[in-house]
Amino acid sequence: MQTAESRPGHTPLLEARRLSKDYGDTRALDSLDLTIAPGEVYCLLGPNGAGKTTTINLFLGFVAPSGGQALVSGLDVATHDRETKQRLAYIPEQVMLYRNLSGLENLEYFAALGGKGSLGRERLTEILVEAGLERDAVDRRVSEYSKGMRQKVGIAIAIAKEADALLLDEPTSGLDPKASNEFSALVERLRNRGVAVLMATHDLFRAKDTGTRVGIMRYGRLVTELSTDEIGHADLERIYLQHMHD
Amino acid sequence: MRSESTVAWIRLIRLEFARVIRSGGVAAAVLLLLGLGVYASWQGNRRIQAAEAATSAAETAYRDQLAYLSSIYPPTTEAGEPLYYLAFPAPQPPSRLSALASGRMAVETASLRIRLLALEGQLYEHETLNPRLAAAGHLDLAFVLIALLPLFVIAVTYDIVSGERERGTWRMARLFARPRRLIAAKIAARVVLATGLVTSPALIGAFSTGIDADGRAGWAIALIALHTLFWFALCLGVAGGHRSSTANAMILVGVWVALTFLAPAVLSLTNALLHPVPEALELTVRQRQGYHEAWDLPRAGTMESFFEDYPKWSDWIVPEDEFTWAWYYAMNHRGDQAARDASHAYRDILTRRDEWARRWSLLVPPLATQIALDRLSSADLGTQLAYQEAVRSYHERLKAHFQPFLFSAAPMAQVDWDRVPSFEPAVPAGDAPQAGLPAAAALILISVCALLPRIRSRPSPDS
Repeated sequence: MQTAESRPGHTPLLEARRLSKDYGDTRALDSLDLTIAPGEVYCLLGPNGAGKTTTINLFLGFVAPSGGQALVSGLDVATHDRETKQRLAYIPEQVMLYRNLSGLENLEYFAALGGKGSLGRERLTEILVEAGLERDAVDRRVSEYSKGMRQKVGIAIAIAKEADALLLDEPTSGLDPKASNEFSALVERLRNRGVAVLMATHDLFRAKDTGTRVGIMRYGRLVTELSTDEIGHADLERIYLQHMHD
Repeated sequence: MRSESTVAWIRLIRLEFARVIRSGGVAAAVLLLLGLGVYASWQGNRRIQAAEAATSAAETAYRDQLAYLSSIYPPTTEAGEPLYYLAFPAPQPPSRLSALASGRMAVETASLRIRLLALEGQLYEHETLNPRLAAAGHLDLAFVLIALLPLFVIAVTYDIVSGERERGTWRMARLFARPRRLIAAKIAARVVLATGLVTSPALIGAFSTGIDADGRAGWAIALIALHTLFWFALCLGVAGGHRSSTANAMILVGVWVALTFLAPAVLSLTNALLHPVPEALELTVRQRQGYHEAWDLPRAGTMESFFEDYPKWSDWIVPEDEFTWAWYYAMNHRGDQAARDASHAYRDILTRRDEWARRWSLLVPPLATQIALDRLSSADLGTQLAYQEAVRSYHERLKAHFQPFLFSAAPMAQVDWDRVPSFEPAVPAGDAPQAGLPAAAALILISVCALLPRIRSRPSPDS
């Protein structure tokens, strides 16, 4: 198994060092060690409550760690809030956008919020189309969009941001197979550009298909880590179920 | 060439503006407020036109009445007789700024027509004329901007942070910028919208009424701007926290009701209890009693009282057994003398009330703004009292002009009608900075206090 640490010249973009999070008496994440290099897609698998979303929230700085560190490009999220957020893009299960703005206006809004005033409407339209949105849909209000279309706007926002790392929390949940496939293709394109991707998912097929590595979590602990090159779909399902029944 | 950052700011504010205006109900509220504002400006313009028409009508009425009296009385008629009927115009030209803030114009007249008789009753006769207006007041632009605009500010600001959280866009936005940049853009877009709501009707009113662009207008604009910003500061102070949108809305509407209606009512009631003012009718009754008693008194006694105030006529011999106009007007003067102490007390207590209200209103931003605007537009109590003083002074000058004719029992043909004194309007109390500065300072101070919770708070990651 080849990890980011083991590959010379690759500084991990995302790194967890004994990262822990407690909610009262409940330990949601327990001493997680994790590294994700540029161009890697790391899929976190596990049942509800395994700590996947907590891990993502810790990298995003949305919750404070109880112990350990979450690092983005070597910077501690706890002490470099702004710098680390600038390097990250995030797509949750439900991409929430401004419903009374169009897809193009939403993209324009978030780009402007990030201080990017140089991206013209033509370029932003191109990004939306690149993210898979139909050209005639870009000017329609988001309130008329399907979930898949909103996910594509979310991807477009990540592209426009030129983020180094993309954090995905159940991004294909509720998408039809075609939309899921399109989404995976988009992630693949970002990976090829050197973006590090951390994706929390229940979808074993998608994890094997899209990911370069897979980590299985249970009760807040990373119980195993696999390279997707070395296993098949059936192996992954078998290993996953084994860990769930241990 | 604009920097990328500037372009990004402009774009962000434009899109936030679009987002707000497309929200359900906001466009309707904007149209309603604009409509009310324009209507209030139009009404203000009509009031000014009516006041100016009344001023010119009073002058015409005086000339017509004088011509009529001259036509019905033979030239040998004693001057005292037509003077009994003749009413002299004492119009106070309205401040054009009062088109925007009408203040006490609804309940106080500034265009009295006074006769040479006892004065005190004439000053207050109008007070019983229009109780309906006294109760309802005018819909002026100041009311729209001070009472209604804050409600709009609340409606577009109460969920400025909580709405983002509840929609789920807050996390996405936080990955792009610090919360303060997002909030600043949101506030800026709403300030642009509110500025449009303030300036559109105000400019229409200013141009249609011909308001001078002087210091008073400048202070009025500054106060309205500061008052609107106070509400933004308050909304930000409350809505920038971690409460839900519903809680924010309830708190802000509660504060709006408290500051706009309850606090002014409590202050007014407290003021009334601390400074009880007798009814103006009481002055009128005292004056009339003083005057009517004199019918039954020896005339020499009445004249003695008169000579105390006008010693130059003390050599005049009072005939006890015949009617003279000089005695008749001296008897009227006795009525004013009878009401004099009460009148002074009345004015003193009103002045104390005015000062008390101005001082304590500084704690209540809408009231402080309203009182300062009334003062700037010369529609406040101080100006009304100054107007009454100007009328008293005019009445004295009229008496000084006509007394020689009355004491010599001159026929009306001998009266110098061309040199009858004209009314000299009152000068508004206090200059523009005196009127505007205390309220402006209070608004800034209270706004900073309202923002303190946000200035001192640091966002926690778990928020």
